[in-house]
Amino acid sequence: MSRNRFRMPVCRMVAVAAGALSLIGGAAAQTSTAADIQRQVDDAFKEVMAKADSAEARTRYASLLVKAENFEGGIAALEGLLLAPDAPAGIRVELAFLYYRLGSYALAEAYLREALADPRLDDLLKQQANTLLADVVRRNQVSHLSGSLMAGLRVQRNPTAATSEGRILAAGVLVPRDDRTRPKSDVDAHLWGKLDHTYDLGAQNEATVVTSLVGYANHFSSVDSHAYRPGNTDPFDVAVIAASTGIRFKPSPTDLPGLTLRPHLLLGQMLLNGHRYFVTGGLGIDGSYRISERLSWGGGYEARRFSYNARPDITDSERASGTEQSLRLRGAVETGVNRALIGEIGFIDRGAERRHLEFSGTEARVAYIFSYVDPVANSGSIWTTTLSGSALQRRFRGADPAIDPTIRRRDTEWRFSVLNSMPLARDIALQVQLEYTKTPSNIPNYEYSNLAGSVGVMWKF
Amino acid sequence: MNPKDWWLAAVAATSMVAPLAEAASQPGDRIGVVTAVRPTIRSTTGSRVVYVGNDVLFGERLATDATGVIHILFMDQSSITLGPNTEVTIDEFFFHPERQPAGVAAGIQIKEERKDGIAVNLVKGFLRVVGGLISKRSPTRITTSTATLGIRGGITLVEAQDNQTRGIFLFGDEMQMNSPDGRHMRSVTRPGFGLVGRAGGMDDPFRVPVAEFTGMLALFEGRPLPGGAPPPPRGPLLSTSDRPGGAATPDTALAIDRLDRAILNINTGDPRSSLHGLLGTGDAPVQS
Repeated sequence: MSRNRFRMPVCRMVAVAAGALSLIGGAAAQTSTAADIQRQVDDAFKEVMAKADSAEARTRYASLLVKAENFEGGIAALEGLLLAPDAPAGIRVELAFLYYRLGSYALAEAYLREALADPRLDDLLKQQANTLLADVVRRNQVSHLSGSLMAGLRVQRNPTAATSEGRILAAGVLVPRDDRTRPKSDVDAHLWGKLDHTYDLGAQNEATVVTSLVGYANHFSSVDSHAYRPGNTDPFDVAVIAASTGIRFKPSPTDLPGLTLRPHLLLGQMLLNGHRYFVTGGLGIDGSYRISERLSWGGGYEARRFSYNARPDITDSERASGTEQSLRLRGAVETGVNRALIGEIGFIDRGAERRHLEFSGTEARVAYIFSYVDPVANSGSIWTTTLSGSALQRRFRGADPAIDPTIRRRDTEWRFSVLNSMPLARDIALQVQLEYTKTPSNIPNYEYSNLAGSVGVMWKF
Repeated sequence: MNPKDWWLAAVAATSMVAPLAEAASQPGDRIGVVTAVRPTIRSTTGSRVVYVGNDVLFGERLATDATGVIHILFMDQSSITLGPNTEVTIDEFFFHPERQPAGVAAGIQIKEERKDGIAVNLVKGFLRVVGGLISKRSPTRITTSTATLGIRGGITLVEAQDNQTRGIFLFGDEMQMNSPDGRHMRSVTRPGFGLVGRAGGMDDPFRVPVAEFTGMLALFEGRPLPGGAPPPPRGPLLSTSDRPGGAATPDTALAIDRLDRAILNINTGDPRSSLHGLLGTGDAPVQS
């Protein structure tokens, strides 16, 4: 036993050391690669200075500059080629992409339009130019409206989050669970829409009014009436409308160009079975700091007030009214082309009119998003898969005497999801999602699990 | 005339001018090379005819006529392009390659010397400046009769006419414009925005319409000859060669804000995530 007790720490130390060494080795390898590329750039520059009339030397030099992520240098190398009477039509497309990568979208658009007007441009370049032009035009608009609309079907094993435990607590006594409250699977159809509008105020701090409107509605096959039913054990049809508006800006564009803030207001309302459940309103501030194109930090604080309606079908629903504050911190890193890992941690405090409805919580979320060429039909379209997991731990501040006056609820909601988006047409995609939820709790009444599968069609505009 | 001959023919007349007393480089020092010209033959007595491949020497005055364009690559890997009817003098070019991170060898003592710098006097006309190694550390200065522009690490278009100077910022940290008397100053940090300075005043930054860029680009380019040879078959784009497949999804593979797009896609692709963000983490009696 004592040997085992020492072996674990040693194993951990070895693992940590190996990890550290591999990180250092990786960093050293990257540094030597960057130094190699820079040496090649310097040699290519000398060649250009010696053979200024050689388009090949210039192109090779530009290519190495791009590899070194010196897009400005690539522009300097390529723009002179446009003076030649027989300059390739593709040079303007190349310059457009380089200006795009620098964030200079107006000039990227000008080069793209010029390139597309050139009859010598081949089909592949035309397609690439048009793809980029669609994005660039969006970015250059002062006022821009976009959004998405999705219709889908979902099947769930346990949409009401009912416990599968055979015995539950009632006033501190374990009693058999009513069979009517057992988990029951159901199917629902849902409609979801989002509208986003941005308005660029034209200021040097990039101040932009950002407004979002979200709507959601679903209908469960087991719901045949929206009349109030005290003691309802079926799922509720949900309808939500929510909006946020704020101003996104850079507080210090010269000294901290990567820092962006967005103070905002939020409003929302949820209906259950067509009757209001709660309204919410509040304010918050988001921030993000882009360290590089591959790494950014972010976070936000929000404070909102929830006002619940009294309902005969939900016991003490109005006592849940209160204020929720949340603080979130986020890190995002690009792990490869079209691949990103995002992690977030949140701290939540929810107040209510009854102590057993108040809680503080910690939430952690991780998501990995990656895109790849359609692996099935080899159509060339780009699929996107998102793997995500989250854990929300809640610690309620008081005991519910109706459940057990001596136990304060503690639960942890674990969610795991796989979401796959497959384009059907340019702006329409088929979306398939599988999500598993498991919530262990110290009170059997609140232990549940659920498996949900959904399929939907999303249109983005 | 063979297009290649055109390509090599004279485009501009230059004349030697006396070097400035404060210049850090010595008159006659090589500071760059002509890498491209749009040829229109002009000769002026006492002036030097310029060809592709010619050295650009410190202290030279460079001038183009109504159709001439010249592209110069400097020793610090920056470039300038002179448009038609343009006249410039390189007033300062001070560059220590050994100071650059890639060129510093272990153990070399860096002396305290004058900082690297580049300064251009734009007498008249159109200039496009793409910054290089010098501009990463000290602003490139462009002086006209009505303003002085300082560009930190970037790309800028400058136009100087009799009574006004216009600078359009395309990329970089900042473009600052100062009036000659120092009483007016404006700065721009957003690509695609410009400044106009004139005697006695300076406008606020303004957004330059995309259509205006198209007109400006035409000033700096050649025009294809009729009946030219068909273009050779091409490989993948050079500008995206470091990110294979990036051209198909530029907003998520190439854009500088692509991480923000990834975060947005995660939140908007899944309705539950979107609602979770807007409605909080309350204990609703429904699973979703």
